[in-house]
Amino acid sequence: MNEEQQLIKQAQKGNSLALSQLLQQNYGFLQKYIIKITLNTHLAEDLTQETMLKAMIKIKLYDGSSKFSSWLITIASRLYIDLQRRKKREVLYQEQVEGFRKLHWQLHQQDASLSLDLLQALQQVSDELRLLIILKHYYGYAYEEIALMLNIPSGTVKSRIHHGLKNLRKELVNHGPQQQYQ
Amino acid sequence: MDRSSNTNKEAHSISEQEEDTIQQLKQGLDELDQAFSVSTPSLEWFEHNLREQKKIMKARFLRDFAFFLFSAVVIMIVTIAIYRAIPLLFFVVQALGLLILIPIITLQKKQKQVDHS
Repeated sequence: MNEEQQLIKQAQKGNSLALSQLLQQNYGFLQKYIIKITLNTHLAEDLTQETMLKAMIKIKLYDGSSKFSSWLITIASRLYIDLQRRKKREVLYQEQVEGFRKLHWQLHQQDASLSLDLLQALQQVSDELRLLIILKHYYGYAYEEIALMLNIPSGTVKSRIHHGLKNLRKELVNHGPQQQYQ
Repeated sequence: MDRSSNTNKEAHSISEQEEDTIQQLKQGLDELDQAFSVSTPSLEWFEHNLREQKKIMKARFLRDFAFFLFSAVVIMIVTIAIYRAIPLLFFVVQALGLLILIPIITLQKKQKQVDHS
């Protein structure tokens, strides 16, 4: 049994210190994941803390069938989707534009040209498609795993990712310097 | 024959394009990862939040349990009053219920208004 599994076992028995250590170890990884799916650093901070609070409450429900980090990703993804659905379209659009502008500015300072092109393209893809593409093609989850995470049929996941990737390709051609495919 | 070879070529180029997109996605997101450093809160922050969550959950449980008990008592008394045909008891319980519930609901509404403001 490795250190993480021991911490999980102790946390599920009610050990506060073990749970705190477990969450602290996964905090950075989770926040970076949320920055990628939201493209908004401020929202990512809020969502990371909300995910942590939810994990504190639900720790006894973690069954060990997936990695602990995957369990946190599942919670965060569902929270994000719920949040986006609850918000009014206008508020959502304004928040996304502002958040993206900030992120763009921060990356511009660091001269990350590749990221800027990609982020512009990613921002044009819908929230749910972006999330699915990142889970599949960046984190390497299988279609079935993503389907379980988000509670949707794996066929739907597959077709949405295919569709999303096509959209992303189109946006990259429009925004980036990769004109050779046009 | 020509058509099938064209289709094969098209399928091949689509998958190549997809692979190229995935590669760009990975590189771009790696850059994004490196561009932002995350400041992880201290262990005390987690422990403090955990304590607060436990307090909130305990308070919520006590509130729900009290509400359940109160509802059960009211239903029991109303049932007994109806079966034993004691109209006075029935009306007294109704009046008491209203007297207790109205201030609670008013207080909750005020708290919600404060939260929103």
